[in-house]
Amino acid sequence: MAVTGAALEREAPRRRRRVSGATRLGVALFSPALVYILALLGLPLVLAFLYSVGDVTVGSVGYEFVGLENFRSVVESPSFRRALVNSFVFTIASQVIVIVCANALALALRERFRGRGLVRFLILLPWVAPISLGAIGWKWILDSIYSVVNWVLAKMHLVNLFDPPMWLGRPALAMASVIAVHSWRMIPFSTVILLAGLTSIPKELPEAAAVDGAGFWRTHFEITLPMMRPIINVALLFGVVFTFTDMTVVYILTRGGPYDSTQVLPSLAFQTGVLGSDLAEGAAISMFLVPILVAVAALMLRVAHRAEVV
Amino acid sequence: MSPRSAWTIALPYLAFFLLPLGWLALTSFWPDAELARPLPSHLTLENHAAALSGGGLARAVLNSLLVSGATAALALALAAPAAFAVARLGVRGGRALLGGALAISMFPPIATAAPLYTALRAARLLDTLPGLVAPYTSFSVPLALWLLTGTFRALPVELYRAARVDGCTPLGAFRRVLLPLAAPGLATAGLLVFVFAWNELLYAVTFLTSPSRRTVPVALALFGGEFRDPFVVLAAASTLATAPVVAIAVLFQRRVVAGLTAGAVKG
Repeated sequence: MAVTGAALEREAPRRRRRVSGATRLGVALFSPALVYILALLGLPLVLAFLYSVGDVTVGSVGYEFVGLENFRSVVESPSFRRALVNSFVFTIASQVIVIVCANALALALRERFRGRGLVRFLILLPWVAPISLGAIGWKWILDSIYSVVNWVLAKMHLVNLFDPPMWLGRPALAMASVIAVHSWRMIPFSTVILLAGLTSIPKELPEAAAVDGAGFWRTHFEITLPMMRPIINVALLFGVVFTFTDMTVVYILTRGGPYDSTQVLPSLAFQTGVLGSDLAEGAAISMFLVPILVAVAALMLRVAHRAEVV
Repeated sequence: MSPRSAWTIALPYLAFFLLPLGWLALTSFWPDAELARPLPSHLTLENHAAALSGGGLARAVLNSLLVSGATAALALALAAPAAFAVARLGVRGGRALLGGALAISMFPPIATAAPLYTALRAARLLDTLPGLVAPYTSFSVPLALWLLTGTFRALPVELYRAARVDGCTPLGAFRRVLLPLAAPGLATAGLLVFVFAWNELLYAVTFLTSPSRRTVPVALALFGGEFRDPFVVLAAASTLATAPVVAIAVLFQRRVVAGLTAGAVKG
């Protein structure tokens, strides 16, 4: 803030007098939001933890402490182990795709060209349209009988139309499909965030590098990308956390099948806790998400912090 | 990068992005009897009529509008004063609170679904629309708080000082000067919250049981299984149900992009 020394001195006594009243008002203005968040997010989280070490089903009234019993039965189930591995595969694979694609896309959209506004808007569309809609569209495209993808591939003589690939019916293909659709959903959001990071880089730097003889790729990897590190971290943090806790794409496309091959932790927790009415075990499964998320968040924040300092 | 190479990157992406939405929209005009053909011989509006008959879909759109609108309004009412307090009144530890709020909101919704279910049942709010607005708001407030703090910080501090010098109380300065100036930011935050609430599936499918209270994502996710309608009707229903939110996005697209980027830069 550009305030001269004299102005600061004149301001100081007045400000000090004002502080206590303003601070009280500040607290008064801030507390409703804080109380609301604590009551409807913090408290349920504590309860969820209590559920996970208790004996609670949808019908039950009482509560009995059972210690780590739920966790033991969860860890021992093959579905859970499968879902844990799947969650990591799903999150890492889709985030790698998302960051690479969003980066390229953000670079392209930084340029001024005819129709850029339209392209930007159209790319945002998958994010605005309900994901259930996008997922239904994809489900239809990957349908076992009416798949338009298969039809095109058959025309190109790449697949046999009478024995087409079952995009959602074979374990490996189903996983690949779910990852592709989730990436489809996440790229717009990351692109917009990265675009913001790109526009905040002073234009002079890459231009100076270009004058000094650095090519496009060299400028990109040695100047633009390092400067974008903090913003990439933000996009990645949001993306990882969101992907790890979301089940929409899996639920609509495959419901976790075939044979649990696309089951991820959130969808398993949903099936067990809500559809299966075993609140305690569902809560126990979702508790496994928490330490992993905290670790990811702490790691990312540290990386972001360091990047800012350097 | 030249405009041409920018296009070469953007175009394949666009195709990839718009393929499922466009294909679904096309399918909604497809005569049911011709689904086995690669392309329809003519287009029809029958599917849309079938999707609208019974009123279930219109009901779902209305429910979603009510829930999303109420969530956005409530989240802004809670977040705007708090954001002003953090940005201008120097609440001690405001940044920490902001970070904490954001961290809490990142916790998996599925973890809180069971306790919220029990709490809503106790409050007799299970299977009601307010019962959905309450948890949606708690997930939206941190995001709105984050965005709006950025908005208020971006307004020149001199404005606030001038209003104070001219005799406004801090609250008056907030209400009469800063709030009107923050209108674009408020619109953006409200819009993002609206879109989040419009798309949310997990809580909606967990807390709502009556078909008449379903929101759009639930209605679409359960469409085929329940009514055994042909897929073309589901396609028509999806297309119709998306029209409102796409219309809103078209109207406010600048705001959406500006808001997302503002929040991101501050992050």
